[in-house]
Amino acid sequence: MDDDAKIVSIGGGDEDISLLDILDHVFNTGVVIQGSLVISLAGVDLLYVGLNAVLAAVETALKHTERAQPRRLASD
Amino acid sequence: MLLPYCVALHSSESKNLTGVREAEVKQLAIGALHCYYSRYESFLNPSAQDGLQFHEVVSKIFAQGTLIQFRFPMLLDEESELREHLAAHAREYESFLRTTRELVQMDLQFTSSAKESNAASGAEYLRARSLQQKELERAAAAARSAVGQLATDWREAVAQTGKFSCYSLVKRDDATKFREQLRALKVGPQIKLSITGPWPPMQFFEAKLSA
Repeated sequence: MDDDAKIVSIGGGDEDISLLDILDHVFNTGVVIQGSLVISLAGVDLLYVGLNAVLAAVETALKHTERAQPRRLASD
Repeated sequence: MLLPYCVALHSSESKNLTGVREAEVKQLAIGALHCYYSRYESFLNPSAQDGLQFHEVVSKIFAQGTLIQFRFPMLLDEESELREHLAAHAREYESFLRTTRELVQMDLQFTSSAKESNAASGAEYLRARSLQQKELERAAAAARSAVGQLATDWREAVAQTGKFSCYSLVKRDDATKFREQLRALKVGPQIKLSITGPWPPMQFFEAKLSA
């Protein structure tokens, strides 16, 4: 995908922000509350995540009562 | 299940917000803090599209003032868990939000297109990587110099080989000027600079949150 194809106008800001920048921020930035369930697919290069891609195993979501061990995260 | 979006000092008109998967965006007030979240019976197969919707919600709240965002998709079972967390860390959240009230984060990513893979030996490869890293650091230093006092704080991180990220705290009203200062920056033929933002100032949120 070349740079032009990745640029999507998503509200706000003076310039278009790429889809990958947005997804990178959403999935890799932010507070994680101890004891919460964070569904993520570690190590997956976002370049290969399509708009309708499944990012986590359905089993993980179904087992939401079995607490994952989230990272003790201050900020990213 | 609850999907929290963010915490802010301001109360947005959440009736005008549409949450992920068209869910209602609710607010939970704890002292001076307003936490935005949506509720679901279940939340299966989180997708990139959900992530974009999450971003939309956070962006609309961020347009009205600074916030601390939660990672997507972080899910909680009960509202009581969110209440407990916010009550336990209210001071850290509030302190940071007050300190960064008028500030936003601008991200700079420097990417090197220099090819080290043609190196004939391991030593040459390492040398090429070292040179590449130095080029990136020089470009970052030039950018830091270019923006001058527009940056109230500045952080740097090596994202991965061939990439170098910088994060700058900037007054909200200076975000456009910040970009303009960097437009004229010459970073060298093998370095590409990408500037994104404004973002919530998460790279500068250093509270150690637990429990």
